Amino acid sequence: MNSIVKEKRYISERLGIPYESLSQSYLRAETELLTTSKIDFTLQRNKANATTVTERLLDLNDEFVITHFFVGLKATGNDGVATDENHLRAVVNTYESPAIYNATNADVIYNSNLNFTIDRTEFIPQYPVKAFRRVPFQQLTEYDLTGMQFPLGHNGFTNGLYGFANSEPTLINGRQTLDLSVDLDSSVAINVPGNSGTGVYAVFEARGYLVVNAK
Amino acid sequence: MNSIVAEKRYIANKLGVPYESLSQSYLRAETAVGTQSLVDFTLQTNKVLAPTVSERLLDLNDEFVITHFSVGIKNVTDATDETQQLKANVETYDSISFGNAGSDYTRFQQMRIASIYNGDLSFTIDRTEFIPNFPVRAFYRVPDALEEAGNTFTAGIPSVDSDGAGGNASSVYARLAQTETSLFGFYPSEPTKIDGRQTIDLSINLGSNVDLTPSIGTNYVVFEARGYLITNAND
Repeated sequence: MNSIVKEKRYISERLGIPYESLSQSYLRAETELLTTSKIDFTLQRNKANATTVTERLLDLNDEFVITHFFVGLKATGNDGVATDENHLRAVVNTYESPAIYNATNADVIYNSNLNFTIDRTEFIPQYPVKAFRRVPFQQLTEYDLTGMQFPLGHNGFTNGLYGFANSEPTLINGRQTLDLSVDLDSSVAINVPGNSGTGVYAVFEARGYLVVNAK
Repeated sequence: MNSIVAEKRYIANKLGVPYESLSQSYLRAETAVGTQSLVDFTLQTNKVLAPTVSERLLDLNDEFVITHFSVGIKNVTDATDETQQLKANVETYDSISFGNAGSDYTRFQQMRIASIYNGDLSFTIDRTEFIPNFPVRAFYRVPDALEEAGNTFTAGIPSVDSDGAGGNASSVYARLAQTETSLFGFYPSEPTKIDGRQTIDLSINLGSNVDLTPSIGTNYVVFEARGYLITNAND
């Protein structure tokens, strides 16, 4: 049968979670990029001060099995005061699209590493962020060469897991101590408020299965 | 054997439906959108006042097994015109069908209708959450060849025709967005049986009110499920 059935069977056997409790789902955490050497992501709602409308975080009683993960970039076009609509209309990019990030240093994340610690145990000590970089054949350009204002183009996105990397199926929950960060190892002014590359965010997304009726 | 036989065998064994009762089919529900934070879909005929001509809904005695699902967008100039509804392409990204002159589109912001791709899909069957949160971004596809508008014949502009002789600029026909496979824009689902009598709640949650209205016509969000209709389901 299809990939979903195979994944659910494996998770059920391996992690001892009832097959019928696994529902296809995702988590998404976002962090605004300013001047920093470390980009932290918060995956749990009770630890996030202010969430964006597009984040999907773990509630206290939630359990989630990660099967794929991804780090990307987005720009809201609005420095520090992005509205809900700005967030909803921003595309999550799989590379440092020059038409969007030209005035920023957002491309530095692709030479950094991702670290994921669960309950003080290093689940992923160092993972290259470059593994999530995808440069599509079709690319957004600011000016349309045919002389028409529209279309300005789009960045290609060719499958449902575009930009994702596989992960060992791993169970996390809303009560654990989760430390997830991208380490640059040097302080970089990724985006300076007020310039034209405004409101740049790093986006972490995990695909997998939410455990329903967990508690 | 091919994927259809494998799927039918699995469904017959797992759900106890006779193999010979499973017929390849689809469901399609469409919702016209305005300013809203939640986009609801109705999958059952008896709960829809006026379905569009292109919808395919469950009748009361129908049973259907979902194997793949998709969310797309479409635009029609006149929502009451059945021909237009039938001609409208369901797009997997905010193509030029949804606006013109870039008024609703910048390098930072996709068109408002494409806000749905940052929302999540929830699917509840008989008050039990089958899919609590699923990323609509999983259905987003931008193909290698994008939709492009054509240029109409322009008198008085010299050009060279294909035969080498001079003439006026000829028309350039519009290009359509590339569609790469029959399941382009779909995502696999755990095989799940639904029927026309269940309480089915299917919606996209945006988390905030967004104006999804186009400058021209009506925008629709389209949910499509592929799978198997169970024939001779009830006496």
